[in-house]
Amino acid sequence: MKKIECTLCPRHCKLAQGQRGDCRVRTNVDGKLFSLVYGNPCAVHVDPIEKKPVFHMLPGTNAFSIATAGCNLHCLYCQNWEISQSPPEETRNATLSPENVVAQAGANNCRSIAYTYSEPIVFYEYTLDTARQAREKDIKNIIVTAGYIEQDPLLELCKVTDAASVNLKGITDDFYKRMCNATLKPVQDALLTMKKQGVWVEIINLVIPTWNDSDDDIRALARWVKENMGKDTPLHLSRFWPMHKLQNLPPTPESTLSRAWDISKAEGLDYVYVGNIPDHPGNNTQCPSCRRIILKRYGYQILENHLNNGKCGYCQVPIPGIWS
Amino acid sequence: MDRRHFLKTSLAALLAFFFGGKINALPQKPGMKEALYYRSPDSLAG
Repeated sequence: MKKIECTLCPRHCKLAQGQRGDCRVRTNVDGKLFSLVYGNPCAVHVDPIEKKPVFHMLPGTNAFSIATAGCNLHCLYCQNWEISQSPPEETRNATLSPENVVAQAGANNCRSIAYTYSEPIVFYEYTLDTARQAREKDIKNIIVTAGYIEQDPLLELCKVTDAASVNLKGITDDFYKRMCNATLKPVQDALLTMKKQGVWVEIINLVIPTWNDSDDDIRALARWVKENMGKDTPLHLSRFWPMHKLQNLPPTPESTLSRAWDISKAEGLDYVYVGNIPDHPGNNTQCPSCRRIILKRYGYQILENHLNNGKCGYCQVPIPGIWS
Repeated sequence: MDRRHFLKTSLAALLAFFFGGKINALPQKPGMKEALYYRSPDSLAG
């Protein structure tokens, strides 16, 4: 029997009968491609929206968060490798239909559903069906993704996505090849498409000692974000923690993150954040006009909120995001 | 064991033995859903 070709992500896996894609969750059954994880999440939690992280959308609310097994990237430092690098047979899975996800989100007072932890692109059909039903119930959708997806499926997903937390892992093709066995351009293209389609985008960059933490790396990343996504696109610089296959490195020093924070702001980005260090001043949202703290955070907690109908409560300058 | 049940299960087992691949060709497992984005053999070049 002939092979079929998955066209969901740039890998374009060509699969013979019974073979699985690189993501471990799509397979060829008699010439048809099937998802193996539809309605079977291996992780279901209620999280603060700040954990995604999404800082410019409904602060202080909860996001009903789901994930299935599998991922189409294989980052050496993956923080959730137990589920992302496993086939569904090796994870403990619940049975939760899209209807039930939406119902559970409502029952848990969640104003959004986050498709997160592993990679929503590989549970695309489940994400899409759930997101469509969430929209009908006035629940917002957040995808937390590496953005390694083809344009056609992305355009369809954008129709029901309110916000995306996109991990731009590095700013060189070499980094993507060596760290993730992937390429940079599809991720940049996905970011541009999301912005063009009106999805609220926040960019995450895990700052890894010796891999992407030089001044030049940080500057190049911040410049790309400013020139292509706009200076009001939030950039989260997150602390790396030794995990999976990169346990030989130390956690990112706080001084490195502070330096990256300074460089990114100096490049002209209005909203630069520092992640995974709860008491760092980079957790707060500062008004780019009057420089006062509008949203004061400790980690995922909101300590003070001085937003007023999407504007700075002090100088009334509009702050971009989804606030209601 | 109920006789009718025995016959039914025996017949099913026999059919599965001889035609298992074909009978079970369509996925019945929970979690399986046809993907939205792929190219079938007919549209693949080469």
